Amino acid sequence: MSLLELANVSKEFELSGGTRVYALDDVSLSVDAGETLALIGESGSGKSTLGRLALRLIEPTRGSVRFQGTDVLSLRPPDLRRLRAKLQIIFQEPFESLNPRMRLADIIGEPLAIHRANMSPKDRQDRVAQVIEQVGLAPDMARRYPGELSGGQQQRVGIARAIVTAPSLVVLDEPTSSLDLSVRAQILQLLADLQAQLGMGYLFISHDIHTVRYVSDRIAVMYRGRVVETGPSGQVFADPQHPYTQALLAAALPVDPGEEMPPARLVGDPLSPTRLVRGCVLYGRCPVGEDRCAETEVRLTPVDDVRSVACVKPGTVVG
Amino acid sequence: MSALSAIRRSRNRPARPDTDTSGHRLLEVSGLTTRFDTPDGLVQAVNGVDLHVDRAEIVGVVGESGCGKSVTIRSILGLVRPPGRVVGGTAHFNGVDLLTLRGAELRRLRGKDIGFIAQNPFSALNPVMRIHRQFRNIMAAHDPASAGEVRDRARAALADVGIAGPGRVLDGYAHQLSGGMAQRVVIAMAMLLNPAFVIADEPTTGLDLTVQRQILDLIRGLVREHGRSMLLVTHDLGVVAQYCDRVVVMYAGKVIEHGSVRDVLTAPRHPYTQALIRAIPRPGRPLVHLTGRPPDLVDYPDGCPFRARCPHAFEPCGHTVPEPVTVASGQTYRCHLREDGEVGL
Amino acid sequence: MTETLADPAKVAVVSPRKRRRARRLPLWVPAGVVVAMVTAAYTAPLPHDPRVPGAAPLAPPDGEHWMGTDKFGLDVFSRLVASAGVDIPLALSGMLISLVIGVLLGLVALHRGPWGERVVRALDVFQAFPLLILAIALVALMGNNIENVVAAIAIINIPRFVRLVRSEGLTIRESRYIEAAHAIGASGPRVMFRHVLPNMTGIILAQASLAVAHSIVVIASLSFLGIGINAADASWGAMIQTGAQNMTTGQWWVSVFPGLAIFLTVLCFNAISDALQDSFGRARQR
Repeated sequence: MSLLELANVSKEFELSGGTRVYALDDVSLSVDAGETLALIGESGSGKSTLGRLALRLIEPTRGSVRFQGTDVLSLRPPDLRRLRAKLQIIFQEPFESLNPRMRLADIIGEPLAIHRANMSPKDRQDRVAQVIEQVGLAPDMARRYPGELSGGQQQRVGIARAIVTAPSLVVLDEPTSSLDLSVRAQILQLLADLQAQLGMGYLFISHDIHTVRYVSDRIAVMYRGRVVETGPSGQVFADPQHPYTQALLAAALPVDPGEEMPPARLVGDPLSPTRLVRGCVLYGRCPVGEDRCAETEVRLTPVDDVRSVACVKPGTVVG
Repeated sequence: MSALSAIRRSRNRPARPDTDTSGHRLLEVSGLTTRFDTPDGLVQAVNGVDLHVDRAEIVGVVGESGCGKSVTIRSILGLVRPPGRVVGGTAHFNGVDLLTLRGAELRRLRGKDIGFIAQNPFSALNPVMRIHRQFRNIMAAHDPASAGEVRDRARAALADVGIAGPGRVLDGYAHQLSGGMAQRVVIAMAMLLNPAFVIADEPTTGLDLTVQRQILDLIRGLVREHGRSMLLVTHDLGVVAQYCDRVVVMYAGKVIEHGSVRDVLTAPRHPYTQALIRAIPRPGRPLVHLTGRPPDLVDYPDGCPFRARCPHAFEPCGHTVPEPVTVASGQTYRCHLREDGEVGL
Repeated sequence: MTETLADPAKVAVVSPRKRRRARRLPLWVPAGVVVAMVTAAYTAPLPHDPRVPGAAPLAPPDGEHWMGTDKFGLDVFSRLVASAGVDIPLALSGMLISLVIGVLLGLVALHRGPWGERVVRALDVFQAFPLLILAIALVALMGNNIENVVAAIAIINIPRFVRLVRSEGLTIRESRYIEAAHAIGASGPRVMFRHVLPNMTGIILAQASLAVAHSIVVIASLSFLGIGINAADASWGAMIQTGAQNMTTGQWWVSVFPGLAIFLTVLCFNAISDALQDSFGRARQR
């Protein structure tokens, strides 16, 4: 049984003007214990919406979310709150996600105050100190406020708060994208170490190809509210099947000046998410697209026992 | 030579040939120093920056946020506003020191001789003015032309940046454009008066990944095709590796290393450049990362600004600012540590 | 082409402990002036009895009567000092009552339910009333006593707190740390009292100080109109009223000095408000 299982999830928002935004369209995916599933896509692909749906911070329009076999969507508020001890999230904006008027010890200790109500203050304090050390912060920082820390330190606090109740799954919503390169590496290292120690499953949301390649076991490529390709990350990176995946990987510029840059493949801008598309979402930008792509319902289909692609002619490579 | 005569001289020449008396050097910045007077104290944002751009050359300026790369180009363009001020240095462009020019002279130079592509296209475009009026304003400021002529030239400029229906874009407003389209319009405006030199400040930040590639390819094409030069500010070493000829690495408001892209990225000399390159996650390779954070720019440290984070720091780094050292290929770096292990003081 | 300003906040890497204070009046200056005024009203030895006429009427300021005397022969300086002990505590207590009620109603107004809706509606109706006239009517109808003045002050200040708490709350509720609080399983009341409310205390206190400043003026206006505080008791508004007809005949001191006292007090509370907003705003930024 998977740790987290999302099946046929769709999410539509209504904007104030009455315009409907189709953020997610029939997405299914699962995360196993101890593994990292990376959700990669550009802004507007729906990856952050999916992350919040997995925690039921927002409600899907259709579909089901199961966590350790429990139907998350049918839980009553108190039961849902209890579940949050096992299901955590780390946000993209480290500073904005911390209450500026609380000291670090209180921020990190709050999940314990909620979920371990019978824990003695002394035990709670010890646990907070332990986690502060675990995420590489100095013990004397417990008395500080978030505004007094650097971006990297703030993100460590966010991580500490997420792991203090020993969750089995953590959603990481672009945890390093607001950080500078040198700090980013520290945080990635920390996240990898914590996963090895604690065996958590990660749903790692990112648009950075270098990062995803480094952290993920499996990846799901998202575009315009749909998963267009999924599989073990080694295989997807080595041999991308979907034209969008190919273009996305080509967009990561090699840092070695000797390495040749793959040709740019897509033309134009992504479609507006206010249009519900029946056929392929890449139609119009795709270098190998045909007329039938606009009409045929293209759904994620297995290409072998571990990989699936949503394309009528997967694996086509443009010359 | 006065600033104005320099401008007049360079007018109406499509692509400037390399026959200028100042030789192949187009921009030469030296000792540039910029401060911000904030309630928290005097922020030493740019501290004696030296850099140059030759004709038909693309130079990348790379560094982390707060390293002073954006302030540097804003200082060159005269776009630093109070509480910021440029307190020292020179920036010779075609023989004219840009830092001595006053408002009107500088504005004439911007657009006509120097095109600027800002980070956020939507802040560069006027939201309440139709696009064609904005094109007309740029032309009117430099080169009065009839309304029909403005439209033709704007159409041509938009076609050059790959916009399929230029007429529709010209009659519309900025908010009707996608991020990629808006940035194309900004690029068209920057190239409209055919400048010899382009400054781009993180031109693809905030755009979709697959669109970033298109925009970078476009900018490079427009620069190369007309023998223009460009200063490209970025935090992405991949952009430097693939789109630049030379690179300038900044840290804490100083240039700590510069040289050809090949030299700097494959054989970085400064420990900071080395760390920056190793911090990019690559499968199968351990992540090497820096500890700590950049120095406080209000309470600027003595000696080498990178000292506190440097794995090789030793005694002289604490009190002496390293002088630039140039090796045979022209690669220059500021570090007390020498390749042969000797201490250079 | 629009030129975007370089953002010094992005450029600066400033460690918070080294932050230097902004060039604002520090909190203790205006707060000290207010405390000194109230303390003086109760403890300082006054040169003359503020309630017993003992001198020639309408005497100009001199060594004996520093600010002159009014038409009843009362010493203006003594009355001025004694008034601080009446006007300021009245304004403060009125504000405190409106603060408590206003914040609670504001929190109710934030609630996504029928009660939230009702409070917002009631607020709209209430705001359509000219509040000063409402205060005059209240005191005039309920009788001239201090309790009614406090009640009037409280009522007219409630809407500003409701409005503030609601608008701030709506903003704070959208912030990332509130989402984070929900994500760790915090209950509704916990989110409200641990996360939303503490992040608006600064702005509420700043608003409270402005409310006091406003109340000082309202109390003065009521006394000037002869309602509210008994004219025999010292009050700045009543003092101005007493001297109003003498202004035209050249005896300016009777009205001008209490006017200045009101001016200074209002200025102090405005400065306190600025300083509070400043020091609380600081914690929010990076």
